[in-house]
Amino acid sequence: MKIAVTKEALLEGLQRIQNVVSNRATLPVLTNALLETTDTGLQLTTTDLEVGIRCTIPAKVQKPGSTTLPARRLAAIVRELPSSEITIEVDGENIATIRCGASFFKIYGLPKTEFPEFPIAGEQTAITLKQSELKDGLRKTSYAISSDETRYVLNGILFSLADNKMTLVATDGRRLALFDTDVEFPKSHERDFILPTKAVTELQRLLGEEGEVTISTSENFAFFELSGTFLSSKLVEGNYPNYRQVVPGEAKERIALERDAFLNCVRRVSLLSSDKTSSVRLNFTRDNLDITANTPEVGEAKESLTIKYRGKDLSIAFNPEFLMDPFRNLANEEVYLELIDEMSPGVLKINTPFLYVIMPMRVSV
Amino acid sequence: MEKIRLLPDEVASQVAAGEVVERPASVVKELVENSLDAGASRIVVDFVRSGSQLIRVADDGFGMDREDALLSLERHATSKIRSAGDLATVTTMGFRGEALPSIASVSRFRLVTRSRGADAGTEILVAGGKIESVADSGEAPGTSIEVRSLFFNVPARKKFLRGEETEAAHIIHQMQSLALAHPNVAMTLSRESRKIWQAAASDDLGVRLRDLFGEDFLRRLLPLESVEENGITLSGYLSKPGESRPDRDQQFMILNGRVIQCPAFFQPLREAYAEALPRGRHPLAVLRISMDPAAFDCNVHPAKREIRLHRPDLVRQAVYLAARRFLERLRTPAAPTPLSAPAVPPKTTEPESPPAEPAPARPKNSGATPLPLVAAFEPPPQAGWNLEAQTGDEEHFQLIGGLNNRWILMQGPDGLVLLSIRAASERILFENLRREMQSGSVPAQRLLIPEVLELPVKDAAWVSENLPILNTSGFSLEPFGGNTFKLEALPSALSGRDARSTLLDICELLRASGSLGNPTLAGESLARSVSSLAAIEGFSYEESRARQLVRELLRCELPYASPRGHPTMIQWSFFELERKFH
Repeated sequence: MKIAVTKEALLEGLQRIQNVVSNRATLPVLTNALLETTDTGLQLTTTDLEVGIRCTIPAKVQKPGSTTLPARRLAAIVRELPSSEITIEVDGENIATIRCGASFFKIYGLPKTEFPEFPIAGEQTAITLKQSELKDGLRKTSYAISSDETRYVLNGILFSLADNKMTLVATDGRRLALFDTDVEFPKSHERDFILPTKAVTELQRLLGEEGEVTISTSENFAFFELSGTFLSSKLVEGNYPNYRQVVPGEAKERIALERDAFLNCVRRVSLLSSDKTSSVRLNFTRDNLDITANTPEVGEAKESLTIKYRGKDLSIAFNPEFLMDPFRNLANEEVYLELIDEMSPGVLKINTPFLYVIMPMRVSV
Repeated sequence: MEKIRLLPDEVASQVAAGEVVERPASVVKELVENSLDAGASRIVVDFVRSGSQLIRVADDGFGMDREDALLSLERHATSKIRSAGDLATVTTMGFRGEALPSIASVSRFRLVTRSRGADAGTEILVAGGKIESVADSGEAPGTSIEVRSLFFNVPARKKFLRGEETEAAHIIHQMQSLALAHPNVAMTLSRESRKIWQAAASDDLGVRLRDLFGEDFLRRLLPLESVEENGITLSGYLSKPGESRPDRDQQFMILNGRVIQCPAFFQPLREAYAEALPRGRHPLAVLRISMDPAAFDCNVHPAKREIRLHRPDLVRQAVYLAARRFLERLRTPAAPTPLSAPAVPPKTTEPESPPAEPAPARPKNSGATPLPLVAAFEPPPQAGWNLEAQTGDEEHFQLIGGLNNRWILMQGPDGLVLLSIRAASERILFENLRREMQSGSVPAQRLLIPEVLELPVKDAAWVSENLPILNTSGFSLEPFGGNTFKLEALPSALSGRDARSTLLDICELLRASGSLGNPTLAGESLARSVSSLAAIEGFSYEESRARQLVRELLRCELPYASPRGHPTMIQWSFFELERKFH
């Protein structure tokens, strides 16, 4: 195989795919990127057997062929090359010769035959939406994913496709973020699947503000195609908890909060609730919100916010991190907090389809 | 039917010997105790092979004149008590008057003695209890006894002796006990004329410990200042938290100068260390206990190893409190709570201070040693792993970096310190949780979806019994019929975990700790289990995070061990490092 490619194109391609590559892969070939010539250029593929990424970059194919080369090393070399024009020539032994101006590199690869098959997308179930929309949805939900590996069902985002809606749900059992958006698709495409955290992270990195993304699934895989890049991911097996039962009924109080002001207050107060087990308390009185934290032998903090509040005095405690997470990831100026009483879940809403349910903490004073 | 007859003295002696002389080590014990009672300042013990070939004990004590020497071989002849009334207040090692005749009746026995001031000594040879000769001899003042061919006339007993090495080990252990009980008497132990150890006379138990067990052993201990509780005075050495053994072989209890074995002493010790040691491990201890001789009866066991206490509860309490305070003394004098600061008396104990004259005859490791020899026995601050001075002030630790995301490396005042992130995190969580439980305010994180759990019968029973404790510890559990419970909240430290497996894990941990079904222990164990589940394994090193962890750890009451007893920090002293690279 022999190709000529520009440094910029090759580097961009490698940067898209190289994140998946693990330095401690179980199979040596998984640290490599698969290079294959196509009619129009060079196709690059990496995989860790769970998530795979494939993209094609423009290249002049002088002699078709394929090989696998160490992905990170290749990227490091390309990044440092002096000029734009690069030729890569691979011999029958999978030894690649890279020439660029006066630079010359020789790196050892492994045959393509050792590289795992890239799963094939199921065309029939494809749905298409704007990249920006999916990106927004992932941003508004992904922080609520559980990181506890024993709860593998929660180690990802639930994609629920039903009634011309795509709903994204993430939860760790204490709070739940839900986003939905209208997408048109036939009834036959309706399905629920759980996309693992790693794929979510990669997808967030790959998604841009322009263009569209097509999502399709097979029995055990999901596929995302965006601007010529493919991402395939194994699905998390198991049943996602019934998130609908979590959303509480009618709220007693609906309080409008100014996002930045509230976030800053909670952040400052949480400085005195040092560890992850601690809480901040929201005390609502007429037109006023006091946010307090108190850690024995450390100290206490209090912030006051002027709000519109006409309900009964109410005091409720939350984990400050759980409270701040959505505020950090929402763009809206105004966020509504809905409460029932101090033992019932709180709900955050904005003017677009989004919902965040947060369970209070019981702390005796 | 046979008529009842009085046993001939010889046979009676052999019967008694069966009790007193169980094995070669008991001969050593009886003879050395006699030497001690005779005011010896120097005792030399030598034995051949398992000791059944030859045991020789020589002392420089009072010695005996011929009349006494002969009398000493009669049963129940003793200089130590005169009437039954004396038994209650006996302070000498022996008093039953059984030892010498018993030993003499089962061996070839040679007694050479000369009382101080006497012109000549006496040599008595006995074989199997029969005096064979009595002659003059010209020895130095003192007594020397040789016991050869032990049990040569009691084949039944001989058969029950263990292997040579086992019997030798018993002798060595016996001598260690005696030497520990009497540091002010110089002792030498040799086997086939090869010295096993030589211990100089010293008032300092530390010197004795080093002579017997070596420098490294001493390094694992810290002195226990003399304390009095319930009329019982305790002093000695106890192991540092984290130092332990799987058995009690290195626990020496010395009651009024006699090494004894009594559960009333070692049980409370284990309890005091419960939090500082893993299950199944025992602290090292050399405890000197003095109490009114009237408060216990040592005439229970012929070898006097076991004693009967009149008020075991008082003894238990005294030992427990002493050990507990010893451990607490090592804890942080936490900066924000000045209350605990006075609990650390800055004074050094008088009894433990080194003698004015350094102990003689140990020039071996002078040169390179950074500390003066005896200074190592002093209570901190100069001693090796000095938690007392280090904790409470994180300034003593200079962060170096992380190791494999699981340990933090630090430079301490005395060397390299490795901190286990997991153990430290467990300790911090544990103390927070315990504090919160005491004040009844454990934050409980409510669950989005309450879980209905069906538990195995045993676990369910425990959960039902302990619902009140569980529900003040951050759980929110309701009986849901049968073995089923509805779980609505978890302690916030655990809230990210799967509720069902968390509850099962808690039951499992409690069962492993033996406190399932023991409601009084349940709270503490619960805190221990929760912290063990919630502790973080590690994190990729960030200075601010590491500093925070160290600070929080040092703020803990017992910062040096995780609640399950694993050490949180270990140290390689500069001295050790120096030696390793030498």
